Amino acid sequence: MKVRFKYEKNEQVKYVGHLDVMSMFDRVFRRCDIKLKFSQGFTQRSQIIFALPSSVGVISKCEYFEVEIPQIQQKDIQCIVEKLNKNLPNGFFIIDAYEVSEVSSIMSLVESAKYEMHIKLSEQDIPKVNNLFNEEKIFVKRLAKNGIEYDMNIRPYIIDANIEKKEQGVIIYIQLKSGSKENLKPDYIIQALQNYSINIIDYQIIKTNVLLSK
Amino acid sequence: MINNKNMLEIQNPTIYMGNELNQVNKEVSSGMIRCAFCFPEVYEIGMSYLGMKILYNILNMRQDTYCERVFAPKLDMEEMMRKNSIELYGLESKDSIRNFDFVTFTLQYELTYTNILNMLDLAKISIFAKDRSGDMPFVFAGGPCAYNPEPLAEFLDFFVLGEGEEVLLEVLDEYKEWKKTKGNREDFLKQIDKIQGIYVPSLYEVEYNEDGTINTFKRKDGKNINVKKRIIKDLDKAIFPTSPVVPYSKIVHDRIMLEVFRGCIRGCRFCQAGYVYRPVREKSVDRLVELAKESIQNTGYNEISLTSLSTSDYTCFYELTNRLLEEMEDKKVSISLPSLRIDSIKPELLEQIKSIKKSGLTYAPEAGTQRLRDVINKNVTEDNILDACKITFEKGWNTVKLYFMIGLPTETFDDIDGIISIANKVVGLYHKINKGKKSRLNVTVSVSTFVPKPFTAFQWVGQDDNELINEKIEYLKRKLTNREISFHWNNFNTSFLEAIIARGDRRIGNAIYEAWKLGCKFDGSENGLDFDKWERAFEISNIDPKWYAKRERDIQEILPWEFINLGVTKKFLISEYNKALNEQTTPNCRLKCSGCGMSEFKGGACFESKI
Repeated sequence: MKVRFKYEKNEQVKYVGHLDVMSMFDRVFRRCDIKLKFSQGFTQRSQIIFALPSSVGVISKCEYFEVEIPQIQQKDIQCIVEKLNKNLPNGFFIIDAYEVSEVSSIMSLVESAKYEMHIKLSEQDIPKVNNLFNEEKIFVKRLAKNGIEYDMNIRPYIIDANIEKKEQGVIIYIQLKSGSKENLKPDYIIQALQNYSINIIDYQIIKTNVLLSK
Repeated sequence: MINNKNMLEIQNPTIYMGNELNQVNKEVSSGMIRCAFCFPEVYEIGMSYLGMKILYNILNMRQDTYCERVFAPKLDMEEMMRKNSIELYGLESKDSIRNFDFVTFTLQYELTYTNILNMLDLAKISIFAKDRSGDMPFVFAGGPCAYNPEPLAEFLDFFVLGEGEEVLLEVLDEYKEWKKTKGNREDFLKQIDKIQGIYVPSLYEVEYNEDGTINTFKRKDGKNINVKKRIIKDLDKAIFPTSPVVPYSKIVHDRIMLEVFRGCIRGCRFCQAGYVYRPVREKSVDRLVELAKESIQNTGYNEISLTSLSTSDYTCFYELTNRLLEEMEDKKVSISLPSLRIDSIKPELLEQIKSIKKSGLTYAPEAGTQRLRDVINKNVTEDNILDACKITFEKGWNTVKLYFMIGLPTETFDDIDGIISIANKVVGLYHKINKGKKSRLNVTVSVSTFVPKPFTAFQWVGQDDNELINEKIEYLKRKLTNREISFHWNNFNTSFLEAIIARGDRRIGNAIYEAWKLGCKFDGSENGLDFDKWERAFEISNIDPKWYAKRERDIQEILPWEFINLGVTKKFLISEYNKALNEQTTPNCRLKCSGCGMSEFKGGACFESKI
């Protein structure tokens, strides 16, 4: 059975890189005695497929992965979730799991993602944040596959952005195009703010939701 | 804590955050004994160390104790911590270890000593033991290098000699009693001074002769010295961690380490571990299989390493590997064997390793000629070496690593030629076996400089002068010209510094302190050693480094560490030294008891065979 898991990656483990998260889950499944389908290659690995893994440093309330678990039934899923949660390190938590059809992989279903960006700024920089999002074009530096840097306009990738003023800065509620076709990481928003000569004292990105196509 | 933006500038920030699989999490309550187990190296190295896993587990099994892990922060993290006034913290709670009850270091390598001072400084704990006041933690250390505690005597409150599983618990019990009495620091130290395995340096004093050697080493209270190492008698009953912390990012030994036995039957004369971990004590096959299954279950690892000083010497070696392979087959778990003696290599053995995973093989002839191998009591022949390589190549390996030492006592250039000759013969052997095939051979010849260590048969010898070492390395470079041989050697200044500190006395502590003040740290890492600064430190502290490293000691001289009762007697070490000079070998402990003195401890194989 193909099962989709939704989990949180919280403050305590936000610096754990994607590959390390993968091997951690691999180990926890083994620890829970849940046998996954193995890949057919020379070095056998279980196949855990992630959708839009968060960058290092991002707290996420919505991460997804899918695995093939042979020989289980619908009614076993709840028990598996409980077992995993008992065995996961602090900071990781499975919030949902359900059976999915075999056809399309989760990676191709991702359309956009929502983030809360908590930005610590000095008072005088706050209006500049509003100004930036009113610009028609927002440029960032990006590396092409051949290693050459180029300017990219990220404006078309921003579906929606709302700015809320806070005591020591702002919270930007933002929805970005994400997935295998068009994708923008929230890190580029940080770069865009800095390019706009905004002095960021500290920041924290929280991924709040990933929107999947039906 | 350091803010998110800054942490993202740090390389691999996860290693400073804890929260790995199997981390012990406890609610901190008042009256709880808090221990910081510090490894004075980076996370990737420290997390690979079995001793820490064992003691972390044992301490945390106590309800009244919370033991946390601490590693040396890398340079970028240290800078960030100092800039933001963050004190060195335990990975579990993130609390500054300055407020802990105990801070303990493991001494695996002399070149980590500056890191110890640096970590104390980062924790805002006084570096010198005498400056520590009432509310500061007790700072202590154990591990193999603690068998010469004197270079660190001024910095640490006490040392643990030998295996810590039992003695640490006794220290904690004493601590609870002492807390009730509201006594001063000295009261506590005097109390634990009575425990076997504890050495409190401040209760002792040293006087020196005019020539710099030790005149007297005595207790300040005039009582007889009785500092004796501790051992665990029955390893099967010892508690072993089957739920070790599993790191997120790659570490040096990223697998389960299953300790098969302690001690070594061989008695190689240069090897400190071979003497200080005596007697040999094995775990039973049943117990090991049980521990292996539990560990796999609790960690999700898919590799087990069978660790010991010489794993193929385990009495039921084949029974163990066969049973493990059988048990683990469906879990796709592989078994690795880190330490194989050359004379144990058999086709069946390599078949077992190969059936699971093809790992690189390292063989250690240690010396190039039979004469010199007899001097060091290695007890392997050139035929053994060539046979092992032959089997290796026949089983399909294309690479083999040969490990040698240079600068061993009595070594001449004939012995260096021996290294070259063995390497060339191994190359020839490969081509004979793989005739007509395209060569993919790589023979690595790895050479390190001999460092005389305390409590070995060579504790009296002078290390080769740097010029001579350099000449030997250059000679090897010139002669090892075959393109299928790659030659590796280490920096002779690293071995020089190791030799100075390893056999140092209390006065060496000043040089370590001065070196740290000049900015020395990570002296043991590849690019870490700044020897110019160390030379300056020796000058400031008025120490002649050559007197410590290169000088041959008289048998009569009082050595700084010899007040410790190791079990192995000085008389035995002297006889081993003399036999070495006469090129005579000593049989291994299973063939014949050579009377090293260890049977006095009434534990382990040498004792059992006597009843």
